[in-house]
Amino acid sequence: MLNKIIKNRLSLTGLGLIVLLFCVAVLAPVIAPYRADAQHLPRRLANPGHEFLLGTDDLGRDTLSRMVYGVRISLSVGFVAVGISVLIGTVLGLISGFFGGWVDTVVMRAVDIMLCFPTFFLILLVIAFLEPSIYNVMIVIGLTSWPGLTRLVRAEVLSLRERDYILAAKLLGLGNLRIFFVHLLPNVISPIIVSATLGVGDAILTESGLSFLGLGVQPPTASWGQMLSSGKEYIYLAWWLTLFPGVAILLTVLSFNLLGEGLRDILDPRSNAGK
Amino acid sequence: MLENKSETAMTMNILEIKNLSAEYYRNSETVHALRGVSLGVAEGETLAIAGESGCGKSTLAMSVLGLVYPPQGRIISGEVIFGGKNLLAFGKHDWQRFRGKEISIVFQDPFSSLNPVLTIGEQLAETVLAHAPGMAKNVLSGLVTGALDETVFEDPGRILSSYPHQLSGGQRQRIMLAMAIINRPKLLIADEPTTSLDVTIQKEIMDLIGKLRKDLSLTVILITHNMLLAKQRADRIAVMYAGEIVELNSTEGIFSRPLHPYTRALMDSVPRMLSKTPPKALAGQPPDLSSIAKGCSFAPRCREVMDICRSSAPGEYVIGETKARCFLLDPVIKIRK
Amino acid sequence: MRTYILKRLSYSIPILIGITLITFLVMHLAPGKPTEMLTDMNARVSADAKTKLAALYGLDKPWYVQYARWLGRFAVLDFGKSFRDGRPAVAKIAERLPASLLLNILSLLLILAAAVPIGIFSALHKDSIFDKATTVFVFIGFSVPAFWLALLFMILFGLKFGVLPISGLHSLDYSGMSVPGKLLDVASHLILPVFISAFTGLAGLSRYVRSSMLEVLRQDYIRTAYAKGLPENRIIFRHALKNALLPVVTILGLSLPALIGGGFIFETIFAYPGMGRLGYEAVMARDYPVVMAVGVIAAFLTLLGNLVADITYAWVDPRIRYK
Repeated sequence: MLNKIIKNRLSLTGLGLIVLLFCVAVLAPVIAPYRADAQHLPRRLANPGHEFLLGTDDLGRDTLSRMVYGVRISLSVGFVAVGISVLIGTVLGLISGFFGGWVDTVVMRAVDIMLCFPTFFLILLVIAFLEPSIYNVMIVIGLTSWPGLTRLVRAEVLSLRERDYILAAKLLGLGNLRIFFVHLLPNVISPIIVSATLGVGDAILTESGLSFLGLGVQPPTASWGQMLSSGKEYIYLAWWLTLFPGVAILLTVLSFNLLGEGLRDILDPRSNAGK
Repeated sequence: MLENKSETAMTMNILEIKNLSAEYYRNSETVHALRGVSLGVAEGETLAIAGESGCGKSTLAMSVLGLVYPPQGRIISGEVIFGGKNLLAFGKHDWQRFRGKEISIVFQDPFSSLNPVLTIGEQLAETVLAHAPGMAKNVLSGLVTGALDETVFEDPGRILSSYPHQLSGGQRQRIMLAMAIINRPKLLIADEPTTSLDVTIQKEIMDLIGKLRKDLSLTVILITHNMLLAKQRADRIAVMYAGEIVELNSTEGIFSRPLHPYTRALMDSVPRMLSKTPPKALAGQPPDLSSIAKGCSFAPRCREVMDICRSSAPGEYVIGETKARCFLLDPVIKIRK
Repeated sequence: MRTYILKRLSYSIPILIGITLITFLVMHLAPGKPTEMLTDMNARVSADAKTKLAALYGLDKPWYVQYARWLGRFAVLDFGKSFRDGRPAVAKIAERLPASLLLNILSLLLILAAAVPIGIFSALHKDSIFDKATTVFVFIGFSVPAFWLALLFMILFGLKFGVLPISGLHSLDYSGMSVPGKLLDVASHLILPVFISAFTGLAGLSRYVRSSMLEVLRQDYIRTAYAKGLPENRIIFRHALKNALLPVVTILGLSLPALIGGGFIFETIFAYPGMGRLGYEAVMARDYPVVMAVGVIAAFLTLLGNLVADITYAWVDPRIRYK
């Protein structure tokens, strides 16, 4: 499997970048030249230079250091949010696809209804009611992204359900739970992995959007979206406050998208991958 | 007498395949689908190319029409002579004017072979227009209706405005045949034309092919894995195994005096009425064509295998109009044995 | 075909009900009764007056009664009055909706015009330089935060080059302009938002067209077309394309909610007078009637979009249209 990933250029680049990001996240205290909340008041809004490689913001905080610590925020939001949506989506999709009947109808209607609402609007709504915080953001994104995954899992289960080995398992009297875990799940995992990977990128984009609007991660915690928000005030004076955090978001989301699409090429038996 | 024979022998071959080798690529593996195939097809005959799945018979058909090209595959060497020209030297433009006009092909699955979003009428008309652009509408429509008539359709008007999914399997295959003969080709290749169809329809289609052959003076290459079908419809049979022709003979000859052990095994495996002996299945699997082993490709399954068969591959031994690729026909080896 | 349409419509109705129900529930689960918003500021309002006010809004009745009344009012598009300026919510939406629609439709058209040719060309020349380059380009579009791009462009065009306006839909002296002047003015205001919106949305569709085309090119009927000696142009543009673009119709319908939804941050940055910005401002100000109105209308438009997409698909694909 790892071999295939290495062969596929897309996923290799994506994976490489992600590994890099993880290292940065873990080694943040070592890599960052300054602490994320350290203020250097005499050097506010400093241009990028020797002392502060990527400049400072309006409170004299080093942009580079904040960006480095920001990796942690983005990655954790991405993974937790996706974790939640994968959990909900997979369970619902499995149940819906496998049992059919009114369970299926109810679940799919719920999915359809949820998909009609503009996701961002929903998130906005919920966050506005609750207190904006990183945890709420993670949960809310997770709670609003499961419908797509449910559909995917259900479709996969539906196509698998009629396969002979499932029918054989049923005939042999295997319990439903066992059928789920041993027979269905391994086959359903492929599209889930692809969707989850792409979902992390999506979650990070959403989080940065929320933080930008002030509804996500709160200052002084350094989230890239939040940095963009405070940087907006000085957009014409201090362009570095706008440029660099955005690049960080772009590269991070890009790496997950590359990996996800690469995985899709590899895992989808029908695709024109390889030669 | 001798002169006459060689004259007629020379003028009768409408298609001459010489030492054709081709490979195709699958899952980063190279499959050697054709390994030095040589074959002559006489004008007006029905030649069956018979063999198990994977023996290369379909690849052979595709190669004749130049439908084996990168990145899926490649024709490595050989010649395909038709009408005095080597088809393998054709460029894209040459092929476009040639296919569907001089040589036509019908495929196995008529459902997937017809475009689901275009009407039958359009798919028929375009076949004509591709080779006669700017044809007058009434002439075109006459040709199209004529083709439907020749393929035994009773209500051409309704058929013309239908879509493939509205027709039955037999009807679709008849449409494929109509598209194939509408431009009056000289050669028709039928690649497993009845395999996807119900048994009851099979006879209908084969009868239709026979009728078209007579009415339009066609030469037919019939590709099949069904020996009985070959026996019923073909004048000569070429048996293929592992990308090679292992035996070529008249139908009568193949069935009464099979020369190659593979052919013999095939004969034994065909159930025969009024025979006391039950059919004998052939053990083993055809070889994996991604790697070429030494020696005769049939050796592992051959009941009459000799030592030499495992170390060197036999060439073709020609006896009159027959040929077989087997050391058993080698007079020298036989004596030694 | 007719049965398909009827079935599809009947399927939509429970969804519509679901939408209204959820919106209603959310509104009532929100902390802080609507009336409290109005009265909290004014300490002199007595408890008695508060109850009277609540009764006026029908907030003292059981929830299902409230829901029924709400549905009734929804049917006539009465969403109540905005808490902020007392104007009917519908009116506020009505004045913002056209701008949003304009932006989204133009963006969608641009996406279509670009993504389809790119996707087809990439499929036909798979693994070529063009394919690889567009893949990179498209991935970046996928991954870039739209609002950030907007900010960058604002700096570039708005400030440095001073060429394109960076906010709103009209310049200040709009009313004084001639008709062509007005058109030009609106157009110049639209360029940046439409372009950025299209750039980020391009990725999905072009990848989809590409893979759809690749899938079609592998089909048997394409092989038949070659075997019949059809010219390459005809094979690609008549045989392949028609099949490849079928699923694109559905995808378009699904793109609609993405466009509508993505507008929220976008419009805020550009100070674009659209529905997205209205919704955002309403949420921040806890202006429930407007929030509910925006939510329901957006959801309804999405539902409509999906419905139209499905029916169009059914009409275009002969396999569904004719039995």
